[in-house]
Amino acid sequence: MKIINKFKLHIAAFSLLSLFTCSVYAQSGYNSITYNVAIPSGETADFIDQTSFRGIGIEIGRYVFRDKFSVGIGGNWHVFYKAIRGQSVQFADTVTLTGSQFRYINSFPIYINGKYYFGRDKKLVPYAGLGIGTAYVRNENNIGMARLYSKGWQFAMHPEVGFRFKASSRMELLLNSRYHVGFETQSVPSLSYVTLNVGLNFMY
Amino acid sequence: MKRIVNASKNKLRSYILVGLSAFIFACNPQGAEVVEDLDLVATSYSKSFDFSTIKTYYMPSRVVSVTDPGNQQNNVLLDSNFHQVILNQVAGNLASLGYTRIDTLLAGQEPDVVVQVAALSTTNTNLYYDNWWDYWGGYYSSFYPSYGYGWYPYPRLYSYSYQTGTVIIEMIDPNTPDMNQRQIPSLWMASLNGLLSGSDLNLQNRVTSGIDQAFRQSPYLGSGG
Repeated sequence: MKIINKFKLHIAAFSLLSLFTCSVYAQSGYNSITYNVAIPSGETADFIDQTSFRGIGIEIGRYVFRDKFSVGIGGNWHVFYKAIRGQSVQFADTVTLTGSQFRYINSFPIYINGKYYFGRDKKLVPYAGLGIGTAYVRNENNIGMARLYSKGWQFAMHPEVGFRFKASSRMELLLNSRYHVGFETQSVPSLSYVTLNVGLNFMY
Repeated sequence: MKRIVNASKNKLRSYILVGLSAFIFACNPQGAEVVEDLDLVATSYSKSFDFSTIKTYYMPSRVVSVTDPGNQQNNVLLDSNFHQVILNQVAGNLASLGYTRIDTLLAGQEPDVVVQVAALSTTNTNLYYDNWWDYWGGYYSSFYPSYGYGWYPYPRLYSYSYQTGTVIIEMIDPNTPDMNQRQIPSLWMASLNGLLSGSDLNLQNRVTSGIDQAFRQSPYLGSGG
């Protein structure tokens, strides 16, 4: 009887210990902030072909299914800029404008994303994900004292791959890359660019 | 208890992250650096007209000054010396196209087209309030404690103004007027717009460069002569 009771006690103690052990490795959520570099592609590069070094991203999410997946919501802001001097722009066949052009694209994607992590409890964890949402885009071309612009919302999505590098028990370094695609609407043209993002992941 | 404290800290961190992003909102970096960056040359033409048929043209010996009678205080009259510089530059470009200038209008010797040059300039004034106190919620009235919190200083009103100038060169066909509408067809028009800022020499150089650019971006004009 005493042996059985001792056994039961050991089982109970081990279970309780396991609970605490699981809670050390199981993260419930995360906040992240990244610095983003964006490289335009496709039709976007026809308008502005210069890399943007003005970008920021934030994301908040929760880990699910034993930290193998996460679901989150986030937003980014990317600014593209290009100055063109000495070139003409044609409109409606018969109108030509010449002046210094200052072109801008401001892109504000907002998305819900899901990620899958290859491995857990490792120092370096690669992952892949997909984000789907919308983006507010404003394209501007300032020629002389005239401004031509288009603005509006568009459906957007991005596949993503990256790495999490554990820096401490609550913080990780983030490195990822995304291919952002925004679909053409009546208000704004399609938008596509590749981002390289580096930042921090705070876990809780 | 520790979990509740950590969750609150993380929520606070979330709000800080969102707030930080919002604080950096609005960004149109760089842009025009010199006055010349704001100069604009625009041209348009009639596709249905055959410019190769032009041999002669008439151009008045003065520039028409366009003013706004409703806002006399905003009108800026250009120097008359400037007018001759503009006319000479236009005449030079038309001559290089092979067009012959007719100085006097005579019956039976009508020119193929008439080229008219107009200039206008205006002063643009803008007012704005500087709500610099909006960065915090106000201050406490220390002199009159009973008034409490939420007092603000008087708003500061600022104004800035700038002058813009436009030169318009228009080529019209006097030989096919629309008598019913009392209109004369416009075949080609060039508009030069920019800030009236800088020395007279700088302004002169910018206007003459603009006139040259207007003709350079209109290669269809040179198919005759």
